[in-house]
Amino acid sequence: MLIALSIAVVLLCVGIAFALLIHRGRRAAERALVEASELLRSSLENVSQGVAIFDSNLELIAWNRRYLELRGLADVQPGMRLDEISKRAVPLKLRLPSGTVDSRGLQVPTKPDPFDGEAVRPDGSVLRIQSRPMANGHYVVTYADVTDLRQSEIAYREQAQYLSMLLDNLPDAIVTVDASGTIQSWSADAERLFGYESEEVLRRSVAMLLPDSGPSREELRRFFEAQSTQPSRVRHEIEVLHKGGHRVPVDVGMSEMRIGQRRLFTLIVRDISERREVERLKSSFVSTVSHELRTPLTSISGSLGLLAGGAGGELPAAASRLIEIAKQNCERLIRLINDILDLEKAEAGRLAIKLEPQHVRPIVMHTIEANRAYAQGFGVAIELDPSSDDAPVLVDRDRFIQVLTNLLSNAAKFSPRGGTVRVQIAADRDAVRVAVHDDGPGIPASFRPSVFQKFAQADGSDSRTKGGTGLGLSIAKTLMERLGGTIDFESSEGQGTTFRVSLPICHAQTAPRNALA
Amino acid sequence: MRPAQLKTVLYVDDEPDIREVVEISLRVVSGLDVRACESGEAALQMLQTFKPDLILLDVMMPGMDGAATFQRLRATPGLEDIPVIFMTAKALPQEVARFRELGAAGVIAKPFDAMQLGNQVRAIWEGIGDA
Repeated sequence: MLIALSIAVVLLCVGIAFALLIHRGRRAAERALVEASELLRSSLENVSQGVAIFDSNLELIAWNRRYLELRGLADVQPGMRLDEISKRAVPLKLRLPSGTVDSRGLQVPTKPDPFDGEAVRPDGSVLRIQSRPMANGHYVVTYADVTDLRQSEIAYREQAQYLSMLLDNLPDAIVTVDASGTIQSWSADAERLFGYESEEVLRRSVAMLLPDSGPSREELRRFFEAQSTQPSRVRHEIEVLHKGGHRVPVDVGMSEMRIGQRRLFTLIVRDISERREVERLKSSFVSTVSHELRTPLTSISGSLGLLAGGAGGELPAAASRLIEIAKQNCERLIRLINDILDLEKAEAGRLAIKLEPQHVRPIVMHTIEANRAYAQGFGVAIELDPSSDDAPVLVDRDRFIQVLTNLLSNAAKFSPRGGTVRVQIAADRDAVRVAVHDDGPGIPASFRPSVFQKFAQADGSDSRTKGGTGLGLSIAKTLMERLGGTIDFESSEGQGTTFRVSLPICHAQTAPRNALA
Repeated sequence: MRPAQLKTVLYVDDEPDIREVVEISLRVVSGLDVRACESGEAALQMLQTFKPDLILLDVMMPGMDGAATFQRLRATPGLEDIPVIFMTAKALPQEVARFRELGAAGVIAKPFDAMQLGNQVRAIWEGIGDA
């Protein structure tokens, strides 16, 4: 009995224990289910897309708030059918699927077969809708607002179309080549300029567009081979070869691009035939007019010179003075013509420049001596600072003298009578500078930006009183640029003006070069 | 054989006024015996009877220009040694170099200083053969 009672008690305990265990297991399972459910809900709420999960009967199981927003739903209940939800949601206008899609996918959202497509909401916003079946027969449908993306794509396409249209309508040919010189792209204007259709040149060497001789090949080759670490950009005036065999003068802008490890070069090529022809006509016109003006001027200046020099006999004082005035103005006219010719040649790049190693100081001293008498005519002395340096430079002696003469004669003209023009040469490791200082009235601040412009005169009366042409400083600047140097000035009103020209020092290893381009 | 002193000059130019100015300049100012004519053809004709110490030759002339006249002179026996100075209104450095290569004794730019023309001509004359 006791045994039976004990067994009963034990069984009771075991039963209770089992009951307790079962009860606790259910609670744990319920807790796990709640936790999983919370985890699911929390996960769904933390994705940026709208998500809805339907069972195999297309009844709603789970969703997130974003889904309600994107579908324009106030609320939904578990177990609601997809077609019922669709009726309550904002209407969607389906677009063609953006990816692979079952043809029945066009029925979405009434039947969520595998689907990847887009739909437009009444407000114009675009949703990307993707539906995927799960292993258990459920469907996950996601909704993403891709309005911004699609607008960016539209803007990008429009931009690309605009650029393409722009490039095709530019007066320039655009050619892209790779580092081996193989042509990669060919614009519509390249066809017009070179005469080749794109299929005739694509994947062929750019060398076919260049004449066998001349600097064009060499310049392009140097550019392609330059192992620059930074993207570079240069411009050249070269000649290219038309399909018809004739040469075409062009201005080429070359830019290097690096796309990843790949080097590409964009050549923007502009036909400058017309410009060259205009330059040639202008040059010919200037030259002819100048020559035609010089011929009568030769007779006039010769006659006046002879009269003023007494070759025609002694003249009365008044006549002598009048002849002198005529002679001076005739000389001024000759200077003007010479200046115009010089400037025209320099600007057209036809001024022959012969660069040779020379020392600056002897050139400066020679020029001072040559201008001393002229300065004395204004009652002005010229002095070279005895502490001046000397240095070798690569220069065209005659052209440099022309520049210095211009600066010295200007300084003399604008110095007060009894004044002194001071010249100083200063050299450092890289450059030598020649400074010409006068004690004149200085250049008015308002005129300083125009000093190097053609026919520039600070005051209209200056050209009359000083006999200048207004071209001298413009010529000096053009010449200094052609010589590889610079020119600048400092001036304060009432304190005088200092013009400085600078040339790079010619180091021993610097070979003479010919700047006649 | 070149004379020790420059005495006679032939000036060739199609511009009558310039011819006159040059004649006066060289004769009155510099005391030279100057004759002048208007073309290369006329010069070759005149040179049959007059052999100057020096010829001043304008470059741009209608018909036979200065360079062509110079070539004819160099190809004519008895005239090939007469020094020639070109006178030009286009005294560009490359033009000057071209004339020198042709064998000119010198180049004088127009317009010139009429009071100094004789001195310029004499300086070139005296420099001939120095180089």
